[in-house]
Amino acid sequence: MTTATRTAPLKVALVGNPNSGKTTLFNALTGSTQHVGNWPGVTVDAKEGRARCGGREARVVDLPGVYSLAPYTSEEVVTRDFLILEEPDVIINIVDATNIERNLYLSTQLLDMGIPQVIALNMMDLVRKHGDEVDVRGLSEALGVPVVEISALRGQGIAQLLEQAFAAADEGIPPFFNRKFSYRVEDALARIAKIVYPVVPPEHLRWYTIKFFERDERIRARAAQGHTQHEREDFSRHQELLGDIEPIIAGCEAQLDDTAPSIITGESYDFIERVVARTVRRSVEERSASERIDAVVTHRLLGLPLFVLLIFTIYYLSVTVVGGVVTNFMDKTFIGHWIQAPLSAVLVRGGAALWLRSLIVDGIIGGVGAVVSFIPQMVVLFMLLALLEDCGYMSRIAFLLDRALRRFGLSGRSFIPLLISTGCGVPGIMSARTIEQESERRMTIITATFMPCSAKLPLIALIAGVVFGGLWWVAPSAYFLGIASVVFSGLILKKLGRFKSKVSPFVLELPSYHVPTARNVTRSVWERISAFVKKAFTIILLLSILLWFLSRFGFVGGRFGMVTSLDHSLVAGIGNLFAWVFAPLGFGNWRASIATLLGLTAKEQIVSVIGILTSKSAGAPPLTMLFGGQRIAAYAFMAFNLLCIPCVVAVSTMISEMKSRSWALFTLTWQLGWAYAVALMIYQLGMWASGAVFGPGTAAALLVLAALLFALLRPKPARGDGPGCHKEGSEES
Amino acid sequence: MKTLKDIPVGGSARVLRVRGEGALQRRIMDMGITKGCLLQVRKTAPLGDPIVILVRGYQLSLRKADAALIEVQ
Amino acid sequence: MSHATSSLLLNVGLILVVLLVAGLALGALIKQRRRKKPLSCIGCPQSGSCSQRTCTQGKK
Repeated sequence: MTTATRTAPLKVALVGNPNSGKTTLFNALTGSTQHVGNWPGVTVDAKEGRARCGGREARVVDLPGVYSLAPYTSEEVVTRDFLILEEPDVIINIVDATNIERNLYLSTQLLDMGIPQVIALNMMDLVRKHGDEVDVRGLSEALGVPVVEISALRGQGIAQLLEQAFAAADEGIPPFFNRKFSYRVEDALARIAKIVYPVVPPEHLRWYTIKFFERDERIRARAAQGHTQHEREDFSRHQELLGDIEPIIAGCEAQLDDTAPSIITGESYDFIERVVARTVRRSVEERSASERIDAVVTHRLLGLPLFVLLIFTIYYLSVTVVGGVVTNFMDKTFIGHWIQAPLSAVLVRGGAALWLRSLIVDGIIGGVGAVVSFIPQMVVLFMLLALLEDCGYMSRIAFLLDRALRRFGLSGRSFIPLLISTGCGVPGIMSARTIEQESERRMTIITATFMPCSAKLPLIALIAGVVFGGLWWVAPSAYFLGIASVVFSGLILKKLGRFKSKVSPFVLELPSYHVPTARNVTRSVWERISAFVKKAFTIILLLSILLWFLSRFGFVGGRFGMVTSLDHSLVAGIGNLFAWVFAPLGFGNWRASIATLLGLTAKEQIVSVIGILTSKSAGAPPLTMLFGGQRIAAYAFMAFNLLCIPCVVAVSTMISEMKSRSWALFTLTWQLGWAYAVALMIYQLGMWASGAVFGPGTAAALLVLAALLFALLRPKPARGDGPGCHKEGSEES
Repeated sequence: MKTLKDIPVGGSARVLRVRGEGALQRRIMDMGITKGCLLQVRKTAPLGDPIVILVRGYQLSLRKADAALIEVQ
Repeated sequence: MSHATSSLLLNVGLILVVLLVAGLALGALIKQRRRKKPLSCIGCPQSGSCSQRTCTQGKK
């Protein structure tokens, strides 16, 4: 092993609790060499980077933050499987010295694994500032591993940490961790070890033994498969194995009057208490700065108003201030006057073909430019959100809102996915992973994309600005519509039998506040923005070319060729095929239909499409005529596009996160049905209220409204009667 | 049986046992709430639930329904 | 060089540029699709040869 790794870079796994400074350490270790999956978070792609020390190189893998290696969250499973199956050369276990007892709990489990490792004792500067002391040498002796003091934030101790990690990997010797459980437990473990010894890798024997004692389902299944391919068939041997182990566990549980996992956890913490008592000296308890901040921020009366004010400020800054001014400048002046106009002039003078000029200037630059204009606004929004994330306020939000959100079948943690979804639904849906309650996680995924994401902002701006002439309430009402959809969907859906799931506790750490670091914030903004830019220059660019082709070519008089009027183009033909579907919503024409359809590829596309399809050069009608001159139809169009199925990238994320075909289908149906129902009610009832005659459309809208009200107000049934009753209403028209 | 839910804000209690099965019990215990450990209730959220407790030197938020699983004295 | 020749050259050049850009975009898109194996696939016996659609290991 050690000779082979001389040439190949070492594989280092970075493991630690959430909020322990793991990301900061990872950034300090790997600098600018890290790379992630192309769409941040679409898969659980490992973040990986290269660290150098003394002329040698290591691949550092940043594993998800976990409190434990019990197999109850996806993060725990991923971390555990990586450590056991990918066999890293060394683990760097980051421990927050200011919260040492709980952090060491994870360490005890890592030490049981028998993998070479080093403990990075982070935030020691804060410990000293407090007047506390940690006997680092004593800690190292008690745990049997090297312990290195670091400050990830200041970049102190990093070189020394890497040196120790390399040394540990070279020696390849597992930690000398001689923690003993109580006599009865050790006796049971010894007997289990004798049974499982032949079927588990010898270096992980202690770990497997403890997990068998805890009746860990995943470990049992893994042993059933066998560690190697040829061991896999021997199923009967496995049954026998478990049969022999069970009485040992049951006996020990009876003697100690507790469940096996509880015994192990309890004794682990008892062990840590003994170690900490010997090695950590705490000064007198006083109210920390963090608690003083919390006294205001999570105050019973002040907490919620402060939160509202903060969120309002963020949106005012990014959407109104930067969004209004800069985005407009980017679109009109930067793209329009500085790029498109001069380029067009050059091409004319050079004698470029008309169709080429149109393709490049209107098709490609126009399509991509419409999206690129939104970058400044998104940078500001993501930066402000990253600041909140990095300082520790996000978990306070979850704490403040849990009670309110639970009423809608969501959790306090749902607020973060919903908030991120106002930037982009993809990371929003991904972040729903932190919600442990299955039903609340699903509800969050279903409702997250109701929030208008930044790609939908251009549409909102267009409708509010051009159709409604900048009427003040139109843009905010789009957000209100999104929030109302989350609330009412939650209230209606949570009554369904589908949304009953296993209970799991809501445990939420309120970490100490930290001053956000520029490095973490810029990195987080960059990750999100680069994904957006990539999208603009790949899928949107290609679709812009396709749309340009479809809208400039068509059949006139039986001959295929370039057309002068969009009405004869291919895209008009395609749009007309299904325009009837949208007729009850007030926008049953091919232009609006095509915009809606192409919006599914990326919501920014809606505005691009409208831009191309209503451009004066193609002799198209102005935007307002797209909706028959009816503002209410334009509003229904906006509502439908905001609420219906999100873009393909978000849909694929949603499908993979739901981990169930039936749930994915349910989600898509609900989103589509909900959007249709809402747009139908807006258009039909809006027209009726403004004096139009009562028609079949109005009747359908009233029926839908009645059905939704019934679904909303009916008492919660004892047994769920399936997701049938309320959806018939939305699909009948 | 007295549970954490019954402890008023500002009050402290020692854990006797954590009820519940599988994930429910394990997730709570993993956070450091184990037999014999001292807990202090620090505050409740503006809407009355969840609560914040001090455990092993850090602040943890729990729903009252989960706090009812923690037997204390 | 006559105006006709230079405009022909410009047109051919522009077409090549557009094709190149479209090709690059398509290439990047395809590369993105063939993303790295997710962490949950680590240790999966069929890792590397699987697609998420056919995956039976990571889902459970």
